[in-house]
Amino acid sequence: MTCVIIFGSIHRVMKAEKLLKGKGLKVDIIPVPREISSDCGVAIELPVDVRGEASRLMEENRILADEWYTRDDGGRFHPLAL
Amino acid sequence: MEIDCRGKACPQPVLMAKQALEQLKGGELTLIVDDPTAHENVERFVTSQGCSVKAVKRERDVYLHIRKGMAGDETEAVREEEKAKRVVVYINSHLLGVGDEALGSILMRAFLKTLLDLEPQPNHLILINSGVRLASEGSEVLETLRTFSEKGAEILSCGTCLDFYGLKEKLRVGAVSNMFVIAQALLGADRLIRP
Repeated sequence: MTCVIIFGSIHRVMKAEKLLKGKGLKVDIIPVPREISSDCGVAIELPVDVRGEASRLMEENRILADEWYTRDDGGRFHPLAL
Repeated sequence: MEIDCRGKACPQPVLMAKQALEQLKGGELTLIVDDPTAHENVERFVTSQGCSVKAVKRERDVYLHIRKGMAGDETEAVREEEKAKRVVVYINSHLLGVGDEALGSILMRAFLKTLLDLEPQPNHLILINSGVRLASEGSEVLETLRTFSEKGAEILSCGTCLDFYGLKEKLRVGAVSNMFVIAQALLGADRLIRP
């Protein structure tokens, strides 16, 4: 299972990726899944067990995420409330 | 017929193989190479031409016994393959689009990942100039490219470009190729995708 974070702008995605990667988290850039939005965009995917740390780091650095999802092993998305 | 390609630089061995195959009416020819890249490139080329190859190693040299005009299944298989549309993706930079570098890098990663989930899957991914970085150590898309490879795509990185960027020893996925093989793949494409 992984966690997918959706942002309102590409600048936030880039900031968040730089921050999280700099802290040693295993983050990946993925296209925003079609199930979530039809807008053009990229999202961040990371292991579900580091989502707390990622959330804390982003909050400390005032990077706002729009939505959080988990992606289960079958590829389905579930909204996540942190 | 025996052709000695020892000491010849790429793409000479492939060109020599091509000329020899054109002259050969049928039967077998032997081509001698002393360089692993030349061996791979020649083998890939003659296989693409519907020939069978048997490589025999003798000390530092490799004797490639190439048989032209195989009857039966193999020719059928080649014909079948020819019928399918050949999709070639030509990537001439590690960035997607012209503009900001960080954005270009993100877009390229997103593009390759998206492509992986769509049909038809490419037959070739050709990496040119800084595009070869994508297949080299430290690239963020190595796993993506490996998946393309597992799905049957051939990933060809320009050898001159790897050399230029000092990445010859750092290629992690796909094969080292040369302008001859690359131009041949481009010419043979039914669809050319240039992101």
